[in-house]
Amino acid sequence: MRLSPISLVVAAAVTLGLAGAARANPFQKLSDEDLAAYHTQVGAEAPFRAGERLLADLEARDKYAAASLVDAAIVRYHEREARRFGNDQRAVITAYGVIWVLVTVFTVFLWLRQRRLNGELMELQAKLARAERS
Amino acid sequence: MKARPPSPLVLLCALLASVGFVVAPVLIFQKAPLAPYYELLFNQKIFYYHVPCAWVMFVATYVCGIASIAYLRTRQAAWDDVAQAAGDLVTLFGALMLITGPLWAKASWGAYWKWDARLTTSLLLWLLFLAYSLLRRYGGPGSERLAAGLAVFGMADVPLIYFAVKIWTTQHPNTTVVPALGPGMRPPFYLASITFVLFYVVLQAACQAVARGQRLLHEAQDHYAEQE
Repeated sequence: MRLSPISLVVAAAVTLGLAGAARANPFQKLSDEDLAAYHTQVGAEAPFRAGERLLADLEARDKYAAASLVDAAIVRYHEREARRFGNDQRAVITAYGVIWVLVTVFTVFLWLRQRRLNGELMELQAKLARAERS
Repeated sequence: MKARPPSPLVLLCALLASVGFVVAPVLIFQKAPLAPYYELLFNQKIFYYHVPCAWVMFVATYVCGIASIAYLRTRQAAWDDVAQAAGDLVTLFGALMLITGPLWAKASWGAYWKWDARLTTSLLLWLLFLAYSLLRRYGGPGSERLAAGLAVFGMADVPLIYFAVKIWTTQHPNTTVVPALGPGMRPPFYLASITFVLFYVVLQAACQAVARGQRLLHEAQDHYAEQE
């Protein structure tokens, strides 16, 4: 039996949906009041403090889960920083490159203008010499 | 008409600028610490060339403006040569500033361009001098006086650019950034700035020589045509 692409997509969606349903998110069971304790408060350090509270509460309940959370956060942090450093590096290399390319183009144009000027000067000198001879 | 050899001062500037362009990147990338702000860090390295380009653009603007005033008062063509050379260099260094700035802005602010007062007034100055250069090339006889007026007007834009960050609320950093630089950032920054100024002196002399040569040649050609 051959399956059409549409039926394949439907089958994949159903399978993923079932898999999602099988592993329920425990945070969905928490009420808004429970989560409010982890919301960002006013102040520059507030997000960090909220994260610390979440981690401390999780550690008190399950040390293994808390350690896994820290590991996952470290990996995410490094991924984000690597991406960011890559973007910064590209910007810096492009900026320095553009400076050198434009300066080189300008210098070449200047040199070409000087050369054209020399050519015109020689032409004028030749004309003057011819005029003197005649 | 004889081509003047470059003066020893210009040759010295060229030599020092060459050394500066070799040493400055080493200091910028090897010695200078990263800026201690999350939105800056590595992308702040653009600052070491972006700001000197802006400063040199200001210097060239004043050179062009003052030489234009001197030309309008005295009608001596030598002043016009100085102004023409400086005008071309405002366009060059302005272009460098306006390209490196948005590249830095994209990395730091997340957007290439914001229509804030500093950026907009800088763009206006560059467009003004682009018009100046085009007028000098294609304006025909008498355009040098019109261009001189444009250069004087352009000179008035420089204080506006400098104080824009103080007068209006802008995303562009304030003028206090350079005096507040960390001790590790000062040597590469000042070295890069001096290097760019020396490089400007060399380019100014070269452009001035070309402008002078072009003027003298045209005068000689006109004289020859009249005699024929």
